[in-house]
Amino acid sequence: MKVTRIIAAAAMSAVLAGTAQAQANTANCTGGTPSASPCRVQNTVSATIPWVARMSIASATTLPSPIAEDFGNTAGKSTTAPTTLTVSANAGVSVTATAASAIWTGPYAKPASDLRIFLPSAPTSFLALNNTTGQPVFSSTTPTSSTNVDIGYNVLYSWGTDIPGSYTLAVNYTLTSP
Amino acid sequence: MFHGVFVARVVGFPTMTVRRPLTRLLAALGVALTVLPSLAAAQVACNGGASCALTVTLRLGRPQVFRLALSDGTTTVPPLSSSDFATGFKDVAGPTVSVLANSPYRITVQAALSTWQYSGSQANPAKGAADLQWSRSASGPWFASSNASTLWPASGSSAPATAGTTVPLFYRTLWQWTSSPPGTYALPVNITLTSP
Repeated sequence: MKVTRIIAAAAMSAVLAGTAQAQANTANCTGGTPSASPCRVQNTVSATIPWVARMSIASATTLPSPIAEDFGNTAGKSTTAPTTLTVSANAGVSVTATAASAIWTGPYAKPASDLRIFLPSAPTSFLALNNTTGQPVFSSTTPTSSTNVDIGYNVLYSWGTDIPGSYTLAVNYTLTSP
Repeated sequence: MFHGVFVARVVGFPTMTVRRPLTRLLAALGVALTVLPSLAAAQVACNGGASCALTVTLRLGRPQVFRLALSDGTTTVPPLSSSDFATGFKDVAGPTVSVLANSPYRITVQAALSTWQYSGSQANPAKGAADLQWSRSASGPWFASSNASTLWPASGSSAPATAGTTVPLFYRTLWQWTSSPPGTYALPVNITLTSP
């Protein structure tokens, strides 16, 4: 009886080994003669990529000190060197600028709208800032890799209100997916 | 091709003793015992007397056998951040490859497709399989999966027979701002055992 069982077991083992050769694309593969039929298993690598964007800019910009001719001048006083904003995104992206507060900090409650931004390519097209609505700075419908956006600042000065002192206004740049 | 012969001594009733450690090893390796049909069908007889002896000859085939297994069939890359895009890659530990083999073998790795499968709202970027690299170590060196490269052995053309070898697999995925739009990516990777 035991001989019979062993033979039967051997026969079954031979059958299983034969069918195992046909296995593929699973996490396990068992069989024989890999030179004749390679054993192959598969591991699928997957990733979910979100909309990803990145930007950088100098943390502080010092504006040129105004002279007498700048006070009351509707053309304001512009920076001579642009501030560079660097933008990267794996899909379309837009950047807006907003004043972080309604007024500057300083000896006088200077309104945020006295700060205007412009692009060096259009040095007289000023966009007044406020703390509610963002002004468009950059927009792209396609992915971008390290695109530099030069930004200029322009400030309005008034004889009657801009008393001497140091003024500061934070500007928020916001990346959004269009 | 047969490489060995077993001789079982049958005394009295047709019982047989087979050394268990060997059978266990064979079972672990998935070895198929093959009994010659002529022997299986042969008649053995023992007539008369208080005892008698019969000899049954079993022939054991020893083919090339192996077992290749992965600890996991899928590998998920952790969520990417803008920093990952800035550095250009994201690493992830892959499965562990386990091998049992009774003869020399070699394991290769190669992407099953030339480009990643993409699902998303953007146009298919046809991200190349070369953007998936693999390594035996988390620190590299890294090999492009677009070509078949040897995972194991680390050097030489083949590894010797083994009763259990495990090889870790690590992946490095490459990402670019302009060619990796939002969406889901998948790339099947074939891990193949062959005899040299």
